[in-house]
Amino acid sequence: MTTGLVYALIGAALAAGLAGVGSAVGVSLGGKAAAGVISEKPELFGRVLILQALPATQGIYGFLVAVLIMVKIGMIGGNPIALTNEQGLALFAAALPIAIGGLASGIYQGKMAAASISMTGKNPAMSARGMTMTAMVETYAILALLVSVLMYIAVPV
Amino acid sequence: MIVPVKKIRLLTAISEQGKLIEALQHESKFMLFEHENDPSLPSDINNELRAIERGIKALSKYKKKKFFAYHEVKQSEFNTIEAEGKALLSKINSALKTIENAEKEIAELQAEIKTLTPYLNLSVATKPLSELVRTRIVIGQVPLNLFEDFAKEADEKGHIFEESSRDHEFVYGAFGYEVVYESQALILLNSYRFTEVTLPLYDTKLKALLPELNDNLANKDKAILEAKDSLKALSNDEEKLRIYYDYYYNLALRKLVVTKTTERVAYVEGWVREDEFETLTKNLENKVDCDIEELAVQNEEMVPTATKNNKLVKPFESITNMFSVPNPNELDPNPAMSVWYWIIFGIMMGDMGYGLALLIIFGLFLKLAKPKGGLKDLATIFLYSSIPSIIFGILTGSFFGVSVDLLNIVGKWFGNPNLTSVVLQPVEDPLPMLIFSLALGIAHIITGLVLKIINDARKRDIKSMLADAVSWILILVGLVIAVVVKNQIVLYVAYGMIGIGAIFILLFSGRDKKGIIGKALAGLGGLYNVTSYLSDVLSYSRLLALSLSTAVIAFTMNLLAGMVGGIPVVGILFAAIVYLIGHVFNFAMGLLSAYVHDGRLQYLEFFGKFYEGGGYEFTPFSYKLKYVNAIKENE
Repeated sequence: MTTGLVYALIGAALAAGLAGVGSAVGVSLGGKAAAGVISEKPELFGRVLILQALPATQGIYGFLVAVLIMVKIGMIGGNPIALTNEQGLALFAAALPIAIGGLASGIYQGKMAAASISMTGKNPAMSARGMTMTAMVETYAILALLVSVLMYIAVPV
Repeated sequence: MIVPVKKIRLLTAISEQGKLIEALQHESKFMLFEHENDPSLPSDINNELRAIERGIKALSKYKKKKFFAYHEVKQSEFNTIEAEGKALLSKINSALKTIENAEKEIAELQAEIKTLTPYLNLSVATKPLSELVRTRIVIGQVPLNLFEDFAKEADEKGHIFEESSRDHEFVYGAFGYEVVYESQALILLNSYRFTEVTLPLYDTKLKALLPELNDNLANKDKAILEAKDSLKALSNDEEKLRIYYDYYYNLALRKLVVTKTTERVAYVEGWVREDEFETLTKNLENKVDCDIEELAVQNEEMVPTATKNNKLVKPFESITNMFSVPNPNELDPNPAMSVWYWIIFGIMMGDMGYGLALLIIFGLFLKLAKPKGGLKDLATIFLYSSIPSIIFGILTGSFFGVSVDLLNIVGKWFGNPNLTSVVLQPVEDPLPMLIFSLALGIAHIITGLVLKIINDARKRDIKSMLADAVSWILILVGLVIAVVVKNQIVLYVAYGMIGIGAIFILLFSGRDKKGIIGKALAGLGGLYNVTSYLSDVLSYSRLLALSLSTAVIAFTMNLLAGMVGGIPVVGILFAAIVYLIGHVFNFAMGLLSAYVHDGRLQYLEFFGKFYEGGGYEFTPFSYKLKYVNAIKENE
C-alpha cells in the first residue's frame, strides 16, 4: 500500500465523515423541532418528517463521493492501485468540497428546516414553501458535490 | 387557462331558501361571498358529529378493515339517510351505554367482593351486630406481627375477638367490647394498629351472600356480551353511519350559509364561472323557483381565480397554488409550468427502474385507494412523471443502477449491433450532461420571459416588456449563439443581439424614475441583473448533481449487494435484503429530492421571471366528504 493510497483514503474518510456529521446535526436539529410540533399536532407527522429529511442529503453526497473514490482506487471490488503521492493528494483535494460544504450546509440546512417545521406547525398550508426555502440552503451542497465529482473525474489513475 | 367569473345574485322566496342552498351545494358551481374553507361549527352540531364518530369507531372494531376502502353512495340514498342514521346511532349509543354502566357496576361489585372476602367466615350477619345496645362490635384487621399480643391483651381485659381469616400481613376479624369500657377498648385498638372497615349491613351471614354477588357479576358480564353482540350485528350497517356523518356535516354546512332577506325575498350573492353560468341557471331553474341577477364588479374588488385546464395539467395546479394562486388578470402559468415540471422531474429521477416503480406504485395507489384532494394531485403528478423518468433512464442507460443500453439490445435482435440509446452518461462523462442541464435551464428561463412578454402585452406595458423580457431573451440567445457557433458572421449577429438587449435595459429600466441621473442609475442597476441570471442558469446544475447522486447510490447498492452475495449459503438472502432496502431508500430520497428541487426551480427560477400571483381560488360551495368517497348521480 502506497502513501498516495492513504491520502486518497483520508479524502474518502473526510467526505463521508464530515458531510455525515453535517447531516446528522442537521437532521437532529430538524427532529427536535418536529418532535415539538407533533406533540401538539400528531397529524402533521408526514409533513414535518419530509422537512426533517431534507438535511439528510449532504451525508448521502459525502457517502457517494467516498464510494466513488474507493471504487476508483480499487478499495471496493478490486485490488488497491499503487497511487503516486500526487494522485493520492489530488483525490484528497477532490473530496474536500463536499466534506467542508456538506458539513456546514448540513448544519445550517438543519436550522432552516427547524424553522420551517415550526412554521408548518403554526400553518400547515405553508409546508411546501418551507420546503423550498430549506432546499435553497442545499444548493451549496449540490455545487460542492458537483465540484468534487468534476475534480474526481479529472484525476487520472 | 383562467376563466372569467361573473358576480351574481340569486333571489328566491324566503320559504324556498333551504331548497336553493341545497341545489347550490348539489350543483357545486357557485362560490359564496362569505365563505370559510374550514368553518367552525356550533357546539351542538359538533357534539352530534363526535357522537357519530364514536359510533363509527365502536362499530369498526367488529369489522374487518379493508386495506383500500372505497365508498360510493347514490345521491338518493345520501339525501334520505337521516332517519336511518339517527336510529342506528341511538341503537349504538344505547348499547355503548349498557356496556359502560355494566362495566361500572362490575367494578363496584368486584370491589365489594374484595372487601368482604377476608370476613366471610364471621359467624354472624353484619346488620344485627350494629343493632346491639350494650356491646359494640367493630370489624377490621390487625397486623399479623402484633396479633399474638393483641389477642392476649384483649382476652385479659375481657374483650372478644373472632378471627375470620389471615394472610401474610394481617389478621381479619370482629372485635367486641362492652360500651362501658369503650375508652379502654379504643386505646387497645389504637395501640395495636387495628384498622376498622365499614361493611355494608346485611341480614344474612356474609358467606351466604357471596353466591348472590357472583350471580350479579355474571349477569352483568352477560349484559356486556349481549350489547357487544348487538354492536356486532349493527356493524354491518357501519357504512350507513359513515354516510350519515357526511350527510350531517353537509347539512350543517348548508345551515351555516347566511342568506340576506327582505320582507318576502331571500338572496345570496357570489361568483360563478362564465362558462358554467348557463348550466347553473338552467339547472337551478329546474329545481327551485328563483331569479338570477348579474351584478357589476367594482373596480377595486378582488375577483376569485377560476382555472380551467385539461386533465394532464390540472394536477399541477396544486404545485402552483402552493406557491401562490394566480391573480385573475394574468396568464395562467399552469400549462407551461406543468410541462417543465414534468420534464425536470424525469431528469432528476432519471432511471428506467425507478420510473417503472413510480408507474406501478402510484398507478396502483390511484386505482385502488382512490385518494382525494391534494394527495390525489400529488400521486397523479408522480404517475405522470414516471414517463419522462423512464425516457431519461433510457437516455442515460440506467436500470436500477445497472447500465442497460435499450436500443443496443433491440438492435442486436434485428442484427444491427451499432445502435445505442445512451446519449448522456452523468457518471462516466458528466460534462455533456452539465451542458445539457444548463441549456435546459436557459430554455426554461426563456419560456418564463416569453410568458412575461405576453403578460406585459396584455397590460400594454411595452417598456417593461422591452426592459425586463425582450432584452434578456436577446442577451441569453446571443450568448448561447456566441458560445456554440464559430462562424464569424453569425458571431457578429450574436454580439448585436447582446448589444441591443443591453441597450433596452439601459434605456427602459429607469422608466419609472425621475431625472436623467435616476434613469441612468436604474439602467446600470438593470444591467447588474446579469449576475442573477448567471446564478439562475447555474442553479440548473442540480439536474446533473441529482441524476448523478441517484445513479451512483444505485450503483453502490448493487455493488454492496454483490459483495454480500459472495458469502456462502446465506449470501443470496443478504444480497436480496441489501438490494431491496438500498433501492427503496434511494427511490424515496430521489423522489423527495426531485419533488423539492423541481418545485424550487419552478418557484424561483421560472416564476421569478413573470409570475405575479396573489389571487385566491374559486372554491364553489359544494359537498365536503370525509368518509364517503363519491356521490353517484341517480340514473
